[in-house]
Amino acid sequence: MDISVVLPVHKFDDEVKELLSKALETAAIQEDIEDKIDVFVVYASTLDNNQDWMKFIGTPAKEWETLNILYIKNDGNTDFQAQVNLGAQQVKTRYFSILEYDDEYSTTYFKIMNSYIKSPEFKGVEIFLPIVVETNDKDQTLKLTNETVWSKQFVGENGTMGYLNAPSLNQYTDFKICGGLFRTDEFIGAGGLKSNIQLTFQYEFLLRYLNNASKIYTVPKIGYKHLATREGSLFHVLQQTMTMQDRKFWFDTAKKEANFFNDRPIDFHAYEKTKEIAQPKANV
Amino acid sequence: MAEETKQAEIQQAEVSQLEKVRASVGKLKAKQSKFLFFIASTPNPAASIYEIYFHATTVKNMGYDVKILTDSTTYQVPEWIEKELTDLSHESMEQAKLTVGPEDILVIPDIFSNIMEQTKNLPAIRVTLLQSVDYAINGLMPGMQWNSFGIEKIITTNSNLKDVVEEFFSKNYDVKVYDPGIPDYFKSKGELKRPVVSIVGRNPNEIAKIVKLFYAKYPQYSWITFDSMLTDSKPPQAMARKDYAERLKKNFAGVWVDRIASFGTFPLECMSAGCIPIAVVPDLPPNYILDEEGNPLENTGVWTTDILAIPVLIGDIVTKFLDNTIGTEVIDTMGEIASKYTQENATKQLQEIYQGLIDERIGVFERTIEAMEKSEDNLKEEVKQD
Repeated sequence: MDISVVLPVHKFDDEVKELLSKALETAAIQEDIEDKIDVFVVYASTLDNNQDWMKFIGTPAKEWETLNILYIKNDGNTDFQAQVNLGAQQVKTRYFSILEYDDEYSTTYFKIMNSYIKSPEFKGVEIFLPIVVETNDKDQTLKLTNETVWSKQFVGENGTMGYLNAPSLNQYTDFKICGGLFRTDEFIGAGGLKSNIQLTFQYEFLLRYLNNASKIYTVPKIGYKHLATREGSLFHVLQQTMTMQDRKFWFDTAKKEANFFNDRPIDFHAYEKTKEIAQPKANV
Repeated sequence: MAEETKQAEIQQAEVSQLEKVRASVGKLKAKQSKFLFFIASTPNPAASIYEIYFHATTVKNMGYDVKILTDSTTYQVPEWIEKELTDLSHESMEQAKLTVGPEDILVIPDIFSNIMEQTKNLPAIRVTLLQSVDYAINGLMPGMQWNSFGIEKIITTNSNLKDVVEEFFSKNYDVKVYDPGIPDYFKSKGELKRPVVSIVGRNPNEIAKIVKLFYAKYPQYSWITFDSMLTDSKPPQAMARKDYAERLKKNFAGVWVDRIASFGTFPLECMSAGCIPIAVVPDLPPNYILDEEGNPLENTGVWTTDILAIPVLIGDIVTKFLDNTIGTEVIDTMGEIASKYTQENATKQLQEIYQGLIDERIGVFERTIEAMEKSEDNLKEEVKQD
């Protein structure tokens, strides 16, 4: 099996335990996969003080025996992007996938992805995205994501169905990289995910790849289930706290930063100034 | 004296006739028969046209002289058919100056009842190529049928069509059924499929209705693309059949609505290409979706008699495709069924049919010669006795 999994964990409680166990189980019960799958669980070093966590990693469930789970302690920055980057550096296989602890793989994910990475037709593809089904906390389907590249209207006359292209991504930004399959060397070479970018780090990452003439293909199968409405999740918090102006700022920033491989500091000064100008002032 | 002269003239005519028949037998045995295939101009690719070229090339490869007679002086040889099948002599019926003998064969498609009428006094073997009962009936005046034009031989593509002939016209026709073949280049090589639905049909309004109803019922699948199987050029053109096959092998499903089809080439092409056919059962169901008792076979795709069920069935198949729950046994069985309809088999069957026509005529002529020789001997004996 030429695919590993990177799974970031930054906190641990009963809810995370339940979700994480389920996430690992979905990686473990894959159809037609004989090899053990390496799973790099990257966790914040602060969890060393959490007895439940230590117990969790010390007593793997029987269902996970098809997995080779490797725990990577992260002493540094523990945001999602940094955790993924750290995991990617440990990966030994040609490809790796990102699994969020509250998400799930479909039972044929590895079988399908394996057939794509082995196919000569897709030799030049750097990122394979699955179609993601987004659900609420009642496990009801909200929508599909990453599928729009299969619309002829979306990819445009010069685009190829199935492949993401920069003009289309400029128009429509809702793509998810979790569940995606990345060529490990390319991911590290391109600078990985950027910690300095909030909200739009996935968008920036995809745009950066496309600016670098890399190929991103959506495998036309539902391969990944994403819990989109969990309270306390990163995106839930961002959705709650960010204004439209904030969001616009992050999208503009992503477009600008996508031209650079390195994770540059963000210049908030100009943005703050803009906000000041936009603030209505009392006429005294 | 006058009586003797008349007798001599009759004898001479009989000798001449005998010589002609002998000459015809010689030509039939020496493969010097001409095969004339009549063909109609059609703006769009049609399996019926492809089949006529396939017949003609099969006969050409048997060593016979073959000519395609077209219905128009401006007839364009179809570009979408592979060149190796269209590399034949073409001539318009209007301009052709042909001498046709008893050893020659005319193959006349069902739609050309006017040609059946015009050729009824020719001494050649004439065969109706019956590919659609609807077109055949359109071409026939009420009360008329093929034997009204002296045609007793029919070649057709579906045993159900033979049943129609026998039920509604006559059981006296000599109807030969063969299985059309699907070119090998349609055969799936395990291509990874795209969420694209090929859609073909005789009536564009029905196609539009299916697509619109599908999008109305499944807004979550608004990104699914329907492929009318034309080129990407502007304006779109008919695709070369090999390119068509390559496209079909990539798409995961194919919708087909053609109630008057006699054989149903498209669903079989889909089955060969590993693309699931979602189809309305035609008035005459294709042989390949039925078992020997006429019951529906399993794993031949999705078939319905209700056109309004088609959008729903597409939605079901899309869901299964996305969830990867379409069983491999479905694809495997479709491939097995399609593999029975090869061009090798079709060639073999057609060679037997056409050679059978030749052999039958040789038999008739040889019996005629025998009878004429006997008659001549009797005459000589009578003269001697006199």
